[in-house]
Amino acid sequence: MSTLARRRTTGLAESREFFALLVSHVPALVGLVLLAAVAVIAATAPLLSLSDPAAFSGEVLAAPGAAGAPLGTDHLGRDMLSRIVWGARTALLVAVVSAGIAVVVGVVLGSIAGFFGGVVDDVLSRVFDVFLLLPAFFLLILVVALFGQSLLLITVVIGLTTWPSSARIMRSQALSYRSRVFVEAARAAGAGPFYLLARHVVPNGIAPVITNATILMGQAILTEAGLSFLGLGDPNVVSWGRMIFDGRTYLDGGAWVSLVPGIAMLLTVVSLNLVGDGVSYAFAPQARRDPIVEEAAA
Amino acid sequence: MRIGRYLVRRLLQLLPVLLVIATIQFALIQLAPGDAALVIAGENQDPGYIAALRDRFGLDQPMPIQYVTYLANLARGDLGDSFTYGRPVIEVIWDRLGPTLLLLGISMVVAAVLGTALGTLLSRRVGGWLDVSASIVAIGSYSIPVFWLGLVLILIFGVWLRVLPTSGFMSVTGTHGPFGIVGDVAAHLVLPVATLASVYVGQYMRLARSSVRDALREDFVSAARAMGFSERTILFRYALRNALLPIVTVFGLHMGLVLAGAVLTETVFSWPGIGTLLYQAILARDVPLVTGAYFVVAVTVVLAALITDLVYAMLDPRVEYR
Amino acid sequence: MSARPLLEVEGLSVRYGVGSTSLVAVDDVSLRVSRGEALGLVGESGCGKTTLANALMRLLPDGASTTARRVNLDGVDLIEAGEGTFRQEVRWKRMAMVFQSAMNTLNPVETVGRQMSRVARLHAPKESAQSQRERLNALLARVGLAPTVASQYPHELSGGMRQRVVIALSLVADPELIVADEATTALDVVVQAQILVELAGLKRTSGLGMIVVSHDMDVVAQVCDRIAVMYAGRIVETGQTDQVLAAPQHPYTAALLASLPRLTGGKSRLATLSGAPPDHPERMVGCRFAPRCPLVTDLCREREPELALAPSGDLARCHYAGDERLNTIWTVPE
Repeated sequence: MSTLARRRTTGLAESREFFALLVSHVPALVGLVLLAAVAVIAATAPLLSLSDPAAFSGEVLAAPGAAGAPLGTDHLGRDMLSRIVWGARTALLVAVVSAGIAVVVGVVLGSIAGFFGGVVDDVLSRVFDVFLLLPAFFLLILVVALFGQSLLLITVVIGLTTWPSSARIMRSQALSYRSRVFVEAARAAGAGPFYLLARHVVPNGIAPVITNATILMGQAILTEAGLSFLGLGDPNVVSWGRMIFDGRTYLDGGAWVSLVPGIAMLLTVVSLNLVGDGVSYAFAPQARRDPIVEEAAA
Repeated sequence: MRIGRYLVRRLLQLLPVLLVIATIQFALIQLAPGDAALVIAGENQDPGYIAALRDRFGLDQPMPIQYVTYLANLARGDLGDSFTYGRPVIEVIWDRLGPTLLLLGISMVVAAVLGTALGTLLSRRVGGWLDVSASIVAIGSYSIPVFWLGLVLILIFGVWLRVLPTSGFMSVTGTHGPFGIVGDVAAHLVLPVATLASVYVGQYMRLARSSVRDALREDFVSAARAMGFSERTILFRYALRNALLPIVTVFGLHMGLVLAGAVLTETVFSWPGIGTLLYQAILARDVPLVTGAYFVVAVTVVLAALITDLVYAMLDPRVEYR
Repeated sequence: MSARPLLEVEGLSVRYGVGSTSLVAVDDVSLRVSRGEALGLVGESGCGKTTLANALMRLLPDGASTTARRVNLDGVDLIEAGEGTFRQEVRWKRMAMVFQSAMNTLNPVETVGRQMSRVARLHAPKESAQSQRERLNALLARVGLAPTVASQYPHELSGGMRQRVVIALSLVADPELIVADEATTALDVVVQAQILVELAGLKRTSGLGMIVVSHDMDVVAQVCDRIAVMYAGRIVETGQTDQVLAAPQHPYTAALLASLPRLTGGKSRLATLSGAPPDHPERMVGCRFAPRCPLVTDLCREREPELALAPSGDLARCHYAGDERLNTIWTVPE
C-alpha cells in the first residue's frame, strides 16, 4: 500500500519535471506546435470553407497566389490548398491507425515475451527477428496489387508490418520491470501474471514504445505516400504522395504541384520526429540516447 | 572456424525467414479474390497457358501439396512467367539487378561513410548550437519523402541549372561525353545517389554521434588516454572502432527500408533497375513480376543480413559468445 | 630513504564543480614515494583515493580542478608541464597506471598483442619489430603469461590473466612510477594473492616506485612499505606498514584494521563502523571523523587536528593519537 502511494506522488513530481524538460527542449516544442497545427487543420477540414478538393475549376496550373487559389491549382485545375488540407487528413489517419496497430500488437507480444521469459521469450523473440526482416514496403505493394487499393487495407498492412520494433522495445522494458520491487510486491499479494502485466509492467514501461510510435507514424506517412507515388494509393482519397506524382511531369512551369505537398509532408514528418525526440529525452534525460540507437540495441 | 561456425548458425536462423516470406506470398495468392491460376496469369487469360500454370504450380491438387509445390518452385527459382516480357520472371529481374545494386551500393556507402564521419566529428561537442542544428538537419534528412527529394533535385539541377542528367542509366545519343562510358554512367548516378544517400545520411550521423559518444565514456578510452595516446588516436582507434558495431547492425537492419527507397528513387530518375521494373509491372498488373520482385527483394534482405553478420563477426571478436 | 624521493606531492587538492554545488574530493594532500618503495593509499570508497590517483595522471573529467603547491617526479616539476608535454613525456613513459577493472581497460576488439605493441610503438617509435616482439614477450613472461596470450582477445582470458596483461601493459614504456588503482579488487582471493606477489616482486627487482590504491587494508599490507590512510579527502594517518599495523594511531585506521579477519587473537566480535563519510567535509569545522568516532570530545568538534607526529612515530591527524583505548574501541568483548 505504502509503495503504491509513494509511487503515485513521485509520479506527480516526475510529470512536472517531465513537462519542464519537454518545454525546455525547444525543437520538441516547435514540433509539438507544428503537429498540433496539422492535426487541427486536418480535423476541421470539412468546416473550413474550402473548395471541393476534387472539383475542376476553370484554370489549369494556376500559379500560387492566383485568385481563389492561394497555393495555385494542379494540372486538372483543382485547388491545391484544399487538396493539401484534405491530404493531411489522409496522412494523419494512416499514421495514427497504423502506429496504433503496431503499438497494440507490439506491446502485447513484447510484454508477454519479456515478462514470462524462458521458452516463450525465445520463440517470440525469433518471431520478432523474422518479422523485422520482412521488407514491409514490398509486401505492401504485393498486397495492394492482389487485393485492391483501399486506404483501410494499406493502413492495416503498414501496422501489421511495423510492429516488431515496438515489440522489441516493450520486451526489454518488461524484462527490466518484471523484477522491480512494486511488481514483486503485487505478485506476493497474489496478483496473477496478466493482471501484473496490465496494471504494472505495461503502464510503467510503455513510454519508449510511445516514443517509437511517433517515429513509426512518420514512417507510415512516408510509406503511404511512396505507395501513392507508385500509383498504388487509394484513388478515392486525396494523398500527398499522389499529388507529388501528378506534379512530376510539370516540374518545368508548374513546380508547385509537386513542391507544396512535399513541403507539407516534410513538415508533418519532421514535427513527429521532433516530438518523439523531445519525449524520449524528457523521459530519460540522463541517458541522452538516440531512439535509433535504442532500436538497434533493443 | 570461429566465423564460419557463427555464419552457419546465423544461416540456419535466417532460413525460417525465407520460409515465412514464401508462406506469406503463397497465402496472399491463395487469399486473393479469384482463382489462383487466374491471379498468377494476370492479364494473360489464354486457356492453354492457364492450364499449363495449373499443372506447373499443382493448382488442381489439395492445398498442402500446392504449398509444397509452390515452395519447391520458389526454391528452384521458378517465380512464374512475366506476361509483359514473355519470359520467366527470374530472368527479367536478373537483368535489372545490376543497376539497382550499383545505385544501392554506392548510395549506402556514401550515406554510411559520410554520416559516420560527421557523427564522429560531432561526438565531441555535446550540446551547443552546432550539436542542435546537426540533429535538426539529421531529423530533416530522414523525414524527407525520398521521391520528392529526387524531384526537387531534378528541378534544381535538371530544369533550372541544366548541369546534370536526370533520367536513365546513360546517354541514349550514342556519345558519352569527354569521360567515356564510365563518366557518362557516373554523371547519371550523381542525382539518384545524392537523393538516396541524403535520406539515410542523417540516421548514420545520429547513430555514429551517440555511439561514439558512448564509446568515449568506456574505461578503455581513459586507459588509452593514460597511456599517452593522442585524442585523434583515441577517437579513431578506440572510440570509433567500437562504435562501428551498432552502426553495422543498423546498416543490415535497414536494408529492406533502403530497398524501398531505391525503388522510389529509380522511378523518379527512370533508373533501369528493379524499381522501375516493379513500377511498370504494377501499371501492367503483371502479378508474377510483382510477386517475383517481392521474393527477390526479400532474399536480398536476408542475404544482406547475412553479410552484415559476417562483417560484424569480423569486427567483433566476441561474436561467438553472444 | 635517504635519496631524493621519486615522487613528491605537496598540498594537492581536487575540487569538482564550481560555486555552491562544488565538492572538495581531495584536500591538501602531501605524499612522497621513493624508488623501490610502495605506498599504500587506503580508505573507504568516496574518501578521495581514486580521485587522487587520477589527479596524478591528469585523468580527471572536465569539471574537476586540481591545485597543488608542488608535484615533482624525479626532480621534474609536473605542474609546469603543459598538456602536450605531459601526454608525450610523462604518461606511461614515466608514470603508468594499473586500472581498476581489467576487463574494461582493454579494448575488447583487439588482441592483447596489438594493444601492447601500439603502446610500445607510441613510446619507442624507432624500435625494430623484432626487438619489440622480444621485449613484449619478456614482459608477458615477467607477469607469468605465455607468449601465445598476445594473439588472444581480452574476452578469451580469465580475470586473473587479464589483470596480468594490464600489469604487463603498464610496464611497456618502462615507467619509474606505477599507480595501481584497486588492481586486484575484482579477482578472487587466490588470484589476488598471486598478483600481489608479482607486484611486490616487480617493485623489488626493477626499483619501481608504486602507489597502491585500495579499500582493502589486507592488500596494502601485503605489498606496501608505507601506508597512507585517507578519510574524507584528507590523509589521517601515514607511516611504515608494520608500525601502522601494529599500533594504529588514528581511530579510523584502527577501525579499518579491526575489520580484518585475524588468525590470532582472542575471541572478540567486531563493532562495525557505522554511518558514512560526510558529503561536504570541506564545510566542517572540526575533525572530519568526529561524527563517527567513539573517542569524540568537544575539542574534536571545534578544531580539526593537524597531521602531527604520534607516539608510535607515525603521523596522525587526531587530538588523541595513540590513545590506549584505540586497541579496544572497535572490539566488543564476549
